[in-house]
Amino acid sequence: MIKGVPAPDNTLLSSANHVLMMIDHQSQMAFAAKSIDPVMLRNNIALVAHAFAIFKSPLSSRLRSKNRSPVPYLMRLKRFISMPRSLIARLQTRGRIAASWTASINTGKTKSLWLEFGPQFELPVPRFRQSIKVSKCM
Amino acid sequence: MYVIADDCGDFTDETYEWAMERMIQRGIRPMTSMQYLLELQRDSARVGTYEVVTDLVNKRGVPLELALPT
Repeated sequence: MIKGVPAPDNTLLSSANHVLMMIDHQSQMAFAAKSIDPVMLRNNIALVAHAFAIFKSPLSSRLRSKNRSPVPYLMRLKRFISMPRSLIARLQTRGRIAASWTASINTGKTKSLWLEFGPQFELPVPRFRQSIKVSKCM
Repeated sequence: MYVIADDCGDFTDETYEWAMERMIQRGIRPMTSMQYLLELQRDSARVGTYEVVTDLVNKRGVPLELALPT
């Protein structure tokens, strides 16, 4: 039986207890999605992106970068970064198995912004240095 | 682990439903974008973010006129 207590349930999300992970984020592939209206999908993602900005949740995002520059994505992302954050760029495609990343996600306490890049791209660091601190994690 | 179910798409309804079902079998908690936003806000008494969240709901949430039966 559910018992009422004057405290929030620990399954509720707060900006301090989670990391927002964008998995396989490929906006150019939205045309292929038939299970949801693309405009609705776009709106929903905007909703989450703004929520991430308002509540300053940590973010982990993988950039699809095999033959594409990550710069346009980063420029868009920059609009949502309203406070100085640290950015940890993993330069390996299978970054999800990196131990430091896993540890960070598991604790859910990081305020870092994790981005994955393909190894073939140089990090566009100078453009972002003003708003985010960049460090590398191989 | 939570999955924002209406932030994903798939080729057909069937493939989407079964992808979600597979994740649910492994214990993920599905939720929606709006739940994500409002769960972070939690309480309208949190005045620091109340206005900007309300603004966002007005701009990006499903408009009331679409939610009502015609």
